[in-house]
Amino acid sequence: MPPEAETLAAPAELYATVIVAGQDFCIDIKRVRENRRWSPTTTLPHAPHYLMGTMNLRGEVIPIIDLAALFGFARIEPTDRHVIVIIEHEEKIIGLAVEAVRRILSVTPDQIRDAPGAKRDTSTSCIRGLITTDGGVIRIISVGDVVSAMEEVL
Amino acid sequence: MAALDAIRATFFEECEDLIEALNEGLGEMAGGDHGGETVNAVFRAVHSIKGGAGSFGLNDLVGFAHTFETVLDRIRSGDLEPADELIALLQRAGDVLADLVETARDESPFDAAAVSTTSDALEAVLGEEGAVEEEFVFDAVGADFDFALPDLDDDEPGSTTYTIAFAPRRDLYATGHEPLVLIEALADLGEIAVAVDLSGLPGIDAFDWEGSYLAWEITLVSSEPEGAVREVFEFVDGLCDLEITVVRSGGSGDATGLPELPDLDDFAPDDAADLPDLSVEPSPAASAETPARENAEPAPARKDARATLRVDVDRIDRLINTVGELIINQAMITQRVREIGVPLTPEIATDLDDYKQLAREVQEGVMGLRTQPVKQLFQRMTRIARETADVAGKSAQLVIEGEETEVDKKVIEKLADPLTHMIRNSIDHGLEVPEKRREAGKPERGTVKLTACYKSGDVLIRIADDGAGLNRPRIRQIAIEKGLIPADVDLSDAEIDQLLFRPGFSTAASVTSLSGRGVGMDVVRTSIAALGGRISIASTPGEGSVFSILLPLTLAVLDGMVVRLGEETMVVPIACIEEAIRPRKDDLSRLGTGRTLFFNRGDYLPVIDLAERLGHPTRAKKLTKKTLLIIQSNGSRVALAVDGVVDKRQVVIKSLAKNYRHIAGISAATILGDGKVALIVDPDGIAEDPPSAGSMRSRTEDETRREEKKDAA
Amino acid sequence: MKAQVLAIDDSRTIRSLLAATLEEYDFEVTTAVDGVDGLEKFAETSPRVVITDINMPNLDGFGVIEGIRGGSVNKTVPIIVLSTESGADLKDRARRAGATGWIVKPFDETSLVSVLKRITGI
Repeated sequence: MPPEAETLAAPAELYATVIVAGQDFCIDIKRVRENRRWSPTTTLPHAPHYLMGTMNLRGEVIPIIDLAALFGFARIEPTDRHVIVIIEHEEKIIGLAVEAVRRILSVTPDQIRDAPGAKRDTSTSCIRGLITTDGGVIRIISVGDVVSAMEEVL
Repeated sequence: MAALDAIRATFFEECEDLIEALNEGLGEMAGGDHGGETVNAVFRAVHSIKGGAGSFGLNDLVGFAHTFETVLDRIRSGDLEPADELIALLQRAGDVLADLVETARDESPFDAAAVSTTSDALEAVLGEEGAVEEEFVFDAVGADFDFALPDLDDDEPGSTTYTIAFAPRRDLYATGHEPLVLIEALADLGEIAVAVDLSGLPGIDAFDWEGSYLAWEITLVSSEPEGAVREVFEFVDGLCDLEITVVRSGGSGDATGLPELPDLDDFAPDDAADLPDLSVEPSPAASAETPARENAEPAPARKDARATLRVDVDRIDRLINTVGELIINQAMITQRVREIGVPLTPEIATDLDDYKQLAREVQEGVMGLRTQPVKQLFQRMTRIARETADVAGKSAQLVIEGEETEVDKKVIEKLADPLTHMIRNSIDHGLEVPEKRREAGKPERGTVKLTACYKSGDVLIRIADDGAGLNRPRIRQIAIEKGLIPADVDLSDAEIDQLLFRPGFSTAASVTSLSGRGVGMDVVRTSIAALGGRISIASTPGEGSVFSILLPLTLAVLDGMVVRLGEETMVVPIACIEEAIRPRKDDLSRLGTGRTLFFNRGDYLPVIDLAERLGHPTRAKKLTKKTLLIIQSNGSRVALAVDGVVDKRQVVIKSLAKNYRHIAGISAATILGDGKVALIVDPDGIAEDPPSAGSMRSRTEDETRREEKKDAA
Repeated sequence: MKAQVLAIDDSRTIRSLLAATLEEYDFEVTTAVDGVDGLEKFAETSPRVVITDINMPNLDGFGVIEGIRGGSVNKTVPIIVLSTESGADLKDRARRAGATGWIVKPFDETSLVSVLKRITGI
């Protein structure tokens, strides 16, 4: 955990940065329940290409989304090193497969820029903002939009 | 009162039970049982609702309940004959009462017209005199006792001196009174001097412990009016010799000139129209004679003698979930131990078996907590039936059987809508109008039978009407018009009946104020399937139709056949599997392009490749190398091809839709011994045509594989 | 020690109301769901005062009063009948059966407590 944020006016929010297709993304830490190592999934019939399948999370059957495939990159070839970020959105629990989870970022709202891009395109519609850091641009993943993308595809 | 909200919630909870009891009793009365206890139970239900409602100032509810109760009281006392029309009215009143309870709970407006119509009808039954025999004042006023009694010393300044001669009779003690309490109460009114008269005491030999020998002479100086003094003795009026004399009135100095007090009986509650809610019995009648009791017959068997515990469903669900984990954990441990490959000692083997056994027992016990009788659900249907019959102009009776059958609470909740729909259909479209029935030589009043029973580990619910039966030519015609079937197709009766369940058979345009036969039957079937159940129809022209719903006892576990499909493992519910066969080449034949039939027990069954239907990537394999599961689906049989059968076991059902969504052909998921998720097949969904909603990818793959299979075969 | 009250009513709502009201006035309340239960609890708790409904399943309020008055233990306990039925004959019967007092439902806490006080002195 970083030290207390100094800015009083706009409290900092914490984001977990993750690597998807070699790029930096981040997820609001309030949405993240836990991280788990990759374990084999069970294929779901009639599923969109970015849905890797489903796995058992302590008795809950949860779908696993390949974020790389969702954002239009090549599908990941899962290995033991891949991480599943377990997120919660409106009582749904979903796993997001990523290459790695890096660090926790403290961000104040004024550091966040709007993401340009068409709403129609899942590769951009699930990004709700950009953060510029010394290391480059980090895209903020909109968990709600990821879940709706999954629900919409029938 | 801090706890008032909680008690209010308790009241509405209790009302649900009371409405249930009410409906049950009215049902028994409709069935010809006018016995004292039946009518009394109905009365009591309405009465308790009234009593509770009064405490919360729910005046509309109280008012209606009161009229309702008065009619029931007349029936109970034999003044009114419970004829069929009257019972029908009582049932309507029961419906109105249920509505009033519901609207009171939700604090929403109620159907004032329905209430007043029914209320008027009830009062008409009572006739002129009895209509409103008591005007209830239901505002919980902080009644004080002066209110009931005339305040004769209204403007009395200063104090009055009273002398009170008080001599209890033995009944005063026998009815739980204590002279000391009364004297203390007088002391609260002012200054008192008490003298006891012991002259009545007999010698010790003649002393009767239950006798009354003492008398008191009390002088009270009080600013309270005489009414307040008399009030102290209200409960003992008639149980003692009492003389209250005003010796000296402070203000006027007139000690004796007061007019004689009116007899307290003049102010008895039964005469007074505007009593406060607290009234005290001033009746003088009290004697030691054997008290009369109305219900002299032996008390009926105690229905609720067993102690029960109300538990939050969530807590049970959490327990069930944990037990589910226990079962999975048990399977995992067993599997892991086996995987080690070390020969097991007999002790370990026994312990593992014991563990399995215990886990199952815990599970069964916990599951039992979730089940409840279908009674309440079924009773709600009587109302649906009644309303439907009224609107549709049918004469109908709903006969209920097996209402004690217990089903998972969640199943019961989710069954309400489909069942409502089907009952409406049966009456609206199953039963003929009275004239038609007469012409057909049937009783004018149609019967719909709603039954529940256990059937080999499942629950079977049937809705059977004695109507005209399905109009198959018409159904066929509609299906052709809607483009569901080609005009020239040859269909068996069973196949025509199945058309009712096809999505698109009925459209919004054909929805009447009730519902057309077939309207939403696809929805009904989907709801039943979501509960892990199946629905089927049997119909005979002129004799009626029977809809049968087969449901699992619980939503939480399922007896499944674990099957292999390439790399994947899936579960097929055993309930629908007739047999598992390795097909011989001679029994397989081709039909048109790509369709294969399997000859079994004199029938040609369509073969459905499960992996292919689900869009799983599998290597083409000859059918003769596969296993065929013969399943019953929608009244017909199909052969489901899988790569092999692994195991037969009970699996814990896990929702797929909770975190993902519903998948065509899959009812739910489970977790196997290795911790992996396995999908549970929905046989009816699979047996249908492939879902048009499937993704392009899986469809093209389907086709590719179909080609491959053709080549391979 | 708190004064024991036994409240017998087949309505859960009324039982809750009685218990909540009386506990607020520092009585200790035992509740019973019908007459049979009431008599059992009466024997168990030997209360200072009994409040009973009339129309109940299994054993009605008259039965309760008779059971208590006809028994041998604590037979002169004050019994207050609580009923929505205010018909004179009903009260008469309760009186003859041996009820000490009578309260008509719905009751409010002032009247309930004041009747209790006048009958029991508590």
